[in-house]
Amino acid sequence: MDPAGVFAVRYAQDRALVRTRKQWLALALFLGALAVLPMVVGPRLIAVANIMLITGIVVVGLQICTGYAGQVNLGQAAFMGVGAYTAAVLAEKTGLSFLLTIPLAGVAAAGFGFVFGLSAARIKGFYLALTTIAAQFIFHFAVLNLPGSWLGGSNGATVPPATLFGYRITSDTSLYYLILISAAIMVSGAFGIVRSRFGRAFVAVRDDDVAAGIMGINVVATKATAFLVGAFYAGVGGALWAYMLRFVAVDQFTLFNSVFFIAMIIVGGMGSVVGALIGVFVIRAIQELITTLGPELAANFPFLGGDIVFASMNVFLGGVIALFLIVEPKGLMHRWNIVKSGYRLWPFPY
Amino acid sequence: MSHPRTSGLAALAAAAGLASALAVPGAALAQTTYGVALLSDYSGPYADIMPMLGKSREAVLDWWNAEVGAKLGVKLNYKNFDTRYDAAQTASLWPGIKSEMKPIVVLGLGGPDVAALGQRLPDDGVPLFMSTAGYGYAWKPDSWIINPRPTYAHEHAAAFKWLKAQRGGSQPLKVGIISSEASPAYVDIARGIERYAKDNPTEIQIVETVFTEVQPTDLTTQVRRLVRGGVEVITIQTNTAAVVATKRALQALNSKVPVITSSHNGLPASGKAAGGLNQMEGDYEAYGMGIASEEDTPARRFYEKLKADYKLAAPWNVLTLMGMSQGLYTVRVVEHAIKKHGAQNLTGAKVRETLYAEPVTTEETFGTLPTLKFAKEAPFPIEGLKVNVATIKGGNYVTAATNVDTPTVNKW
Amino acid sequence: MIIDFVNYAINGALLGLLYAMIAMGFVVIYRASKVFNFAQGELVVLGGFLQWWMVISLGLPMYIGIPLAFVLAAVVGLLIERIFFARLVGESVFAMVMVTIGLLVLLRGVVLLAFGPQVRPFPIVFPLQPLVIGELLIPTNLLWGGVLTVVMAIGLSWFFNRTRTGLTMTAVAEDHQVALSMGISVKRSIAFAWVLGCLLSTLGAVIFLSGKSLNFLASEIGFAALPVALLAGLESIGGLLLAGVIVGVIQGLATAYLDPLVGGAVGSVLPFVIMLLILLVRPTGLFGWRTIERV
Repeated sequence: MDPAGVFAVRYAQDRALVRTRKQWLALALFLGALAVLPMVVGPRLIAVANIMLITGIVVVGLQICTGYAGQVNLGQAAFMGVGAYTAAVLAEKTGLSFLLTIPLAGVAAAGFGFVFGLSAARIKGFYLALTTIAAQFIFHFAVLNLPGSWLGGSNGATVPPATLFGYRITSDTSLYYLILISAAIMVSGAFGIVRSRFGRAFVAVRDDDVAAGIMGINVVATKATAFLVGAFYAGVGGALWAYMLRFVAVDQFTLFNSVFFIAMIIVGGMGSVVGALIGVFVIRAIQELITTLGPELAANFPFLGGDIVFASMNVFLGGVIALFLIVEPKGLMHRWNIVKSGYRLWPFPY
Repeated sequence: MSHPRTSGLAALAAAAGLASALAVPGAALAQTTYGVALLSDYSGPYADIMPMLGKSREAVLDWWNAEVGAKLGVKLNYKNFDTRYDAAQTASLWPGIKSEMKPIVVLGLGGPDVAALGQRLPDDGVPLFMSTAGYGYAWKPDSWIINPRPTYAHEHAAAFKWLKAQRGGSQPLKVGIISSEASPAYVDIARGIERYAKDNPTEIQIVETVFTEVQPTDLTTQVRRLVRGGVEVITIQTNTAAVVATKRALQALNSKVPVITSSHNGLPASGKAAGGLNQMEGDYEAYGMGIASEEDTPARRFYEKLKADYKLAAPWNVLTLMGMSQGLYTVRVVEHAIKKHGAQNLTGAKVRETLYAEPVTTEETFGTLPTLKFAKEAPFPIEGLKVNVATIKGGNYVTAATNVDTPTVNKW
Repeated sequence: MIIDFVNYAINGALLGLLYAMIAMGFVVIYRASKVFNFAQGELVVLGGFLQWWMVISLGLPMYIGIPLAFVLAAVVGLLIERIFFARLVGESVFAMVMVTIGLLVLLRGVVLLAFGPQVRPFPIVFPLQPLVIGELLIPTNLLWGGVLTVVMAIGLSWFFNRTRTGLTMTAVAEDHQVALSMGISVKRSIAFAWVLGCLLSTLGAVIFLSGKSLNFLASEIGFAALPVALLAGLESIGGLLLAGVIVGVIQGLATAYLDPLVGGAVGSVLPFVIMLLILLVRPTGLFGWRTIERV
């Protein structure tokens, strides 16, 4: 809802995402802060930011597929892996520039996702969620058993660094900018998708796919498209991951990772792109906090022991996720929206 | 009587004492400190070995600082980082480690460290010293990842050669492999052994490679196929659960075929998981490190010293020894580098250069490792590699063979 | 040759029945509360550790230790329901399912904290010597496991379909709101589901791990049992027997004949492929409820 005194007089204004001058200013400041981040914070936080941004891209894709279209997808890490391997193989074997390999990786992952999307036409609900788990196992098996010259097999795939006009993008800061620009493009694309007719079709199918079909929406195509888009995002994220680590192995994309992605959209709030980003930030921040505090705690309280401190991290993280669901099942975005409208409406209660 | 003289002498003695007392901290103050980063796993799949491996390498560093480094004017500061055995976690920790500690060497734990850091280390200029055997996928020339042991395939190839010699005869040794697809590292080991078999058909013949889960439900039928195929030894380098499942299968089949394991799923650990060391009677373990048996060896004596003087609280087993070996060869290389380049301005690159220039003798590592002569072709020494074999005899964990030569294994 | 084939098939079928026992945990929880429990594998590990604790760590004799472990498992199930699910009655089922995802991470941490990451030996509940009939070799624990699975499946199936309590729980599985409005205590149903789920996973742990070793990575079996649950259909307990046998036989034969051919673990991935194919033909599994969706 808009702040008091703000109303739209043109259709474009009504449809806009950024509605007031102040919001433009806030957005500009935020983007500016992101742009100068490497110069302000230490190298560890830049590396953390890199991983957060890549995970953000993947989770935004998952949000489109699961949050907006209601197709629970537990194979997002496998799609990310497909993208990573595609980028690795293309970069190593054909020497294409990253400007081409990253979109191609997204396309390859989207193809893989499309196949599962077609199965979504027949399989619904929990069954679908669980068949996407099959994607994880099939991916794992395929990579390890296809001939080593194709995907590296058990050796994994090494990736040459991304180069731009001869400059090797290998340092954390240069990777940060590459990832930031990609993330900006993908996230603004996501905003566009969810506001378009596709986004509305996704939401219709999520709410009631039989009714949507009756109204004339091609439900099969919509579900397949949701998977396709979600997988494309995962593929792009995977390609960036490949360029960052420069070594791709199948155990970087496990079922546990997929579960964590779902946890991130739950915490952030399903059905909101910004929510996905918030979820990624909160969960990774907690993980990093515990990893940083852990050695300090273990050093200062030796009776605790390293293994207790670090095992507690799992308990804490799992507890946080469960707590969120019990206390605020609609996620942080919902809380934030309540706070925001409370602020705008004050002193009125509603 | 001689009051004034004694008081004068006393004053002189006091002055001398004071001067020397002032000089000693002065000498201690002229100390350079360098950072050593320790990558650990406290909450992932290998968390159970950290109390032994982690503590022992820290104890070695304490020992070196006190007894060797103090004389050379160098102190090695170390700090543990929990990587959860996850490449992503290691990758995100590394820039912070680099800037905070400016390490000259990093002590790694396993595959994820290699995956996360392998490509970055040449640019960052810090060598990664591992404690485990080498991996096939990290077998590259000019590597900044250093393994003091050859690959797992090498280690068991040496053991197969020894077993064949023990058995006598010229027929190739029939070998069964129990592996798992749960991790690429496990598949990598199996492929290595398969390659060795292909190149040396007179040495070993692989009956079958059995893939199973991380926690196998039942291996009786698979093991029966192996036994029917005439296996003489079954190699298991994945984990203790696989060893226990295979032993149960062999017991169910009343078969006497021995099992041969590696260091991370060795006889004591597998025995404990199977309910007693006597369950592993007649089985073997083989790896390129010292054996942590009850015999009196230089390694054992060094362990006792660490326990007595440096508060090492870990029990005497292969994992403690692995940590000791990792700590020892690291500090010896640093020691060589100090002697070569001086105590000031040491860098990771200089440490690595010294590694190639000067071998680390087995005496320097108290027998925990053979003499290591590194070369740029591979992350591990490719010549002069030796393997030790242990077994359980009469319920006791004893050494069966030491310094078995390792055959050549081609890269797969 | 033929006898080998038969042996592989029988052993595969028994392994499939073990998966069916673990899948029964999934299905029972789903059948009584409409919640799909992602953390079932972790419950198996927890049940296994409770057994270890009682029999090996505390040294109690098996005929006291094992039943005591079952009692503790039931208490754990009640605790889980009380802490996490009691508050969620009336919320969307989706939220409850996501809580089980949180449980997955949390239970792993609890197991690590309470029992440590070391590999532990597991008590030898069933005799180690397999049953030998001529050339056939059948592991005793799997044989007993198969018998227990069949008995439990028939018993629970009768319970859910023929007794009054079971039918009220079936109502909860259909729709929480409708059940509430008819005066059925959804909370009690969910509590029962979790207690039974924990008991079944402990039983599964006993069969799976008897005589072998245990560590927290054993939770993988939860996902390996998934194809059986889906193939049977998430609401069908009796159907688990058939689904278990089908998946088990296919996996057993594939591991025996295809693995050496391909040089990889085909046997582990084939159940998922089969499951995918069958779900495409019958989207709710072989015996699952075919709901009619109304707009």
